[in-house]
Amino acid sequence: MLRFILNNEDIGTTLSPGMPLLDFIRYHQHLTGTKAGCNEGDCGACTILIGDLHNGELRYRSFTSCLTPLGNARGKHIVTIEGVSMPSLNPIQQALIDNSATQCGFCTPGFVMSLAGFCLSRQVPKRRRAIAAIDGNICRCTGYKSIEKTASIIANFVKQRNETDPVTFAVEQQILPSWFSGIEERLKKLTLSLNGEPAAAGTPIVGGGTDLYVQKPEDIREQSLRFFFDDPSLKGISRQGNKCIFGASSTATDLLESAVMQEYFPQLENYIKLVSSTPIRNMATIAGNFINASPIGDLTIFFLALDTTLEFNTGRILPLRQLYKGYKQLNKTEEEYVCRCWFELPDKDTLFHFEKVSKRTHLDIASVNTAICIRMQDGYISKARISAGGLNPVPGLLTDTAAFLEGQIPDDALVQQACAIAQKEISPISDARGTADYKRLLLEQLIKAHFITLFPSLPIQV
Amino acid sequence: MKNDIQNKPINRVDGRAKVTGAAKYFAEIEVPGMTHCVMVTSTITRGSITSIDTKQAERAPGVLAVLTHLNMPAIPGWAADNSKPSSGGEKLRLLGSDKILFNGQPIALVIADTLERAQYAATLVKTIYKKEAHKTDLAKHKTEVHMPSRLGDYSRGDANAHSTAPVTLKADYVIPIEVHNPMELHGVLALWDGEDKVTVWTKTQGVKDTQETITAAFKLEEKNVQVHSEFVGGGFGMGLRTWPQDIVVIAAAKKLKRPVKLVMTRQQMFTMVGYRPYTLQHISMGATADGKLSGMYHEAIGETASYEDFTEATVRMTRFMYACPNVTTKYRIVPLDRGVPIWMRGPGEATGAFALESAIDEMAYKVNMDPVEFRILNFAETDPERNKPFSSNHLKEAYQLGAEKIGWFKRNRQPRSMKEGDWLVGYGMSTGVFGAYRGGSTCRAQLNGDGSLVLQSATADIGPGTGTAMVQIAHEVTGLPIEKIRFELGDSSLPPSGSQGGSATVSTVGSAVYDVCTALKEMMAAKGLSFENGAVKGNIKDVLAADGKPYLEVTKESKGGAEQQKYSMYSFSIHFTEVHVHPGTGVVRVKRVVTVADSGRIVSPKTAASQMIGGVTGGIGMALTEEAIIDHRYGRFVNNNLADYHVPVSADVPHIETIFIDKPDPIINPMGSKGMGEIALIGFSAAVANAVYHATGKRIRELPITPDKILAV
Ligand SMILES: Cc1cc2nc3c(=O)[nH]c(=O)nc-3n(C[C@H](O)[C@H](O)[C@H](O)COP(=O)(O)OP(=O)(O)OC[C@H]3O[C@@H](n4cnc5c(N)ncnc54)[C@H](O)[C@@H]3O)c2cc1C
Ligand code: FES
Ligand code: FES
Repeated sequence: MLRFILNNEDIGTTLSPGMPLLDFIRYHQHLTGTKAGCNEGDCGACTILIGDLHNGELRYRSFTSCLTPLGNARGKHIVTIEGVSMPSLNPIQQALIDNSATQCGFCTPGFVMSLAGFCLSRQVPKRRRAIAAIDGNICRCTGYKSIEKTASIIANFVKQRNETDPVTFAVEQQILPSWFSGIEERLKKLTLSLNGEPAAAGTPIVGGGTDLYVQKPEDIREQSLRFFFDDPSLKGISRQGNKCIFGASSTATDLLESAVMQEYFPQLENYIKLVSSTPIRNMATIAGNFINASPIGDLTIFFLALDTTLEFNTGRILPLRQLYKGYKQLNKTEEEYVCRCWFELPDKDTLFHFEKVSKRTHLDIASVNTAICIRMQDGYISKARISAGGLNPVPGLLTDTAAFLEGQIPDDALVQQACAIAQKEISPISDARGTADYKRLLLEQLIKAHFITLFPSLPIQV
Repeated sequence: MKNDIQNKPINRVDGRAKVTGAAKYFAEIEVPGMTHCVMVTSTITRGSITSIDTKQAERAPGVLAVLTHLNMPAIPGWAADNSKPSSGGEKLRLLGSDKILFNGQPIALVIADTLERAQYAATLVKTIYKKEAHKTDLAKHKTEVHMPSRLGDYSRGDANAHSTAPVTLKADYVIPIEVHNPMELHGVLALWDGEDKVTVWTKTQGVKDTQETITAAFKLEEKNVQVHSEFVGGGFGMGLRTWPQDIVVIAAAKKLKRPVKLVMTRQQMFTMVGYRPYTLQHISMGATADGKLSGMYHEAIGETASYEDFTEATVRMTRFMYACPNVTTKYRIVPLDRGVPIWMRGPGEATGAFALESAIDEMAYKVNMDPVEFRILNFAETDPERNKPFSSNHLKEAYQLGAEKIGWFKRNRQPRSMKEGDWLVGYGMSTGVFGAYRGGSTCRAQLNGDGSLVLQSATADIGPGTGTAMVQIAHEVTGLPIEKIRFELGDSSLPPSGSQGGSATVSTVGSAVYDVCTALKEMMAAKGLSFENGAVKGNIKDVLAADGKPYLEVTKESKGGAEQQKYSMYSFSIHFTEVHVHPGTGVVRVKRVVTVADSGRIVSPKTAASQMIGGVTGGIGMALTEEAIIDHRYGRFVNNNLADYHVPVSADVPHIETIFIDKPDPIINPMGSKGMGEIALIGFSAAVANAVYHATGKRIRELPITPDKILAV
């Protein structure tokens, strides 16, 4: 029996936990305000909120319900558009109408939910963040500007919250119905009584589902699955000595909100915002990104440059750079799964940067992505690692380029030579993301961008 | 109507239903006993089905039927039609034969009690094909042209003037396949009552048109076919016809004697509900040294299906936009093994304007003139194609207004002369135009005893805010408050109206609303009633009691008259844009947009402004990112999803300023309003291409303008 709360209702269901949450909401619960526009996480029409207890505190995040397995709802609070609608319109809904931000209206419930997610986020409310909250929602009619205007109004509104708890504030201001006040207690009771059925070893693993549900939706729906998304032993990001250790099921958003990561990567928000969209980041796990073995996985490229190490359930330890044997071929047995990962935190002499270029400004897979990590000693590069994606069948390191850089003093000539060496380490193909020549050119530009960012005073010829 | 005042902005009348998720689009309708249909589609592009094994699917749990060409009931209206397509190919008869005419063609319907079971069973259907060589690449087959049945050749003056003029220009342009991709997925729900009565909920831009198609296909009586489409989640043209898969699903429901619902997938939205066709264009243009256009030649070749001619007015704008004595246009189509295209926002003109307005910009540079001044110098005071006056034309004022707003004349006209940080800066502009129409429409008004007014017409609202505009018009005529007026649409049993297309709804249906409200006032006067201070004056309850009626009712048919033949009627738009181009990566960002619309009087300022902004955003997609790519080896799309087919996201869209000339057209209709949905997009891609030229010195003549094209030499 899978138990959770849907809006204000307690749910117990024996339906297949592999079913997409969207199907459960629309077809089984007849809550049709949540729309299906793509079933692949791309459009945001199916956006819902999921609340869970995080260190005893209720926390809400937006999810695309089309890619969320029902099993990932266990013990949580699922909120749909019906759950935030009251007899009188809430301020988000009212502002959308006042600003003409709904035309055909099909995308609108998704936008309402994304903005509700912004209102419930514990991050300091800012206009920029309200607009970022809708980065996973497509609207084909309105042209977005009126929706962004709405987002600004909501950001200003939420700024009055000050120190008040987001849920309390939202209830007081009638952004949410009053029964939201009781959810935290209900979830606490619910989680105590949960008894998940452990699936047999060897059954397929699902993390956030953002890859599996796009690749093979028909296959996994009825299948027995192991749900790793909430497994406490696979969560958590912490520092131990000079190492950062993170659970395999940490999500991109967990990274973004982690105190350790923020401390050591001041530009973290700028990097992570290039990865998919808010709801997908809330769902996408790091292990999922590593294991799906996409040649352009952003988190993979990020962690390759940091020379991250993986630990499997078997106790085997493997550097990430040795995980990929060939296109979608892994150095891993069927039984093995990733438990945790670690990397050495950059010290004061170590510089890091991540770059990605995609065809569309946001919500897009990279054409080319790359990260660099270099250690400086007395003005020399003592250690260098450059990772690059979209240029070879597997994500990997540009080892020759890195070796060439080591022991050198960075200057324009060095960067130009490094770019030339990098060209010999790649074999891009022409596809919908760009021609092979264009990708070669992009890599060159991005390597230069690394050095321009890390050494702002260097005059580098672009 | 008080034409001298501007309308005040009101909120959308259906806003509440939309922001709460209460609005019911067709997929949200449920009826007792409903079953779910999933389509299996062909994986080859041309050929036939050798065998199709449905046994396993039929035995899967919950499956009620698997219908293929082997067991599909005949559709009487189709069976009776033996005509041949003009291309000489075969007619598309879904599930009517073993023939495969395009990749993604439906070959089986799997119907089960739940959606999941239908989806699962659909994976069990096994098909063996006999493949034939296919053609999907227009560029490769461009010589295999076919003269379309309409939109023939046009010529005035000297056909060679374009190439004998002192200054000449020849250029080729390419538009890729663009897909409407409204957010709502297409589909249908059919519920039969016996053998000769059916109710259908679907996504359509015209309930009457859909009713007519169904009536003909099943040889029914019109009154026995009910079509509902109250909320439509965007259409942009794809809902302008009733697609064959809708008909076969309705037929399946009849055979099964159970209601059947089909909701298509996003992948199927690329193959089965039309697209803007891949089009090749050639322009040759001549001008005098002092910048007078002396000749133009414009040729377009568009793709169509092997089984049907699709035509659009790609080259029409060239015939009348500028005062040029010698103009020749030619339009051809090439039948390919593809699904048939359909009009997409700014059909024809959006494609043609990219070529014409790019070429005009190029010519302006050749004769060393500012592109705005060049256009004003060649301004056509009257329509040179039809030799008629324009009903209204405020283009000159629009050029001026837009230019001032964006700071056009302050820029350095020299290409690649402006920079901001690392980025090259460019300004570009273009003109858009689309016919302003007024069709026929009937509207019914019911005035209730409580002083509330209900208006009814079988039109659609695919997003622009039809209901809102109609309520606003009724409010202006009657003085009743907005809250007292309700407009009902999207139901084929209401008084007839044309489909929502060609930007003509406000003009057409608005006129009927205007006329019916006027007629209502006359009827009321005869009964001693009137509207005063936003309420009914006189005792309406007594009048109704005496008549023994629940409400006062008038129905009025309304359509244009002789004025339509005397004038040329067009809506115009002028787009100005500033773009930034990164010289290293070739990335283009649209930084600012000023769009001026000469679309007559603005009936509903709020919904009008969002129409314009939405259209410009579609134009940004067309200019920079949208392109459905076919792998011609297999004849199928490689990016048939919203992850890889890039419609703009919010971060792609800058501040868009819209300016309305807001001057009533004295001819077209009682409100003086011309259309707007199409001109918002038409021409915008040329403005971007022209701005990219100004920024970089490079002419990109193939859309979309992607970084690799900018960096390629
Ligand atoms: C709209 C959209 C946009 C996207 N944009 C981006 C983007 O910009 N950049 C990017 O890099 N990716 C992107 N992705 C891809 C995807 O979101 C990421 O790869 C994500 O990290 C996958 O994680 P998941 O937990 O959702 O994977 P899942 O689908 O749950 O799993 C993926 C694979 O990993 C396996 N797996 C999961 N956990 C473990 C474990 N602990 N041990 C072993 N195997 C495991 C699963 O069995 C499965 O094979 C996007 C996806 C979508 C739908
Ligand atoms: S339906 Fe499009 S993101 Fe879920
Ligand atoms: S209002 Fe139509 S998709 Fe947003």
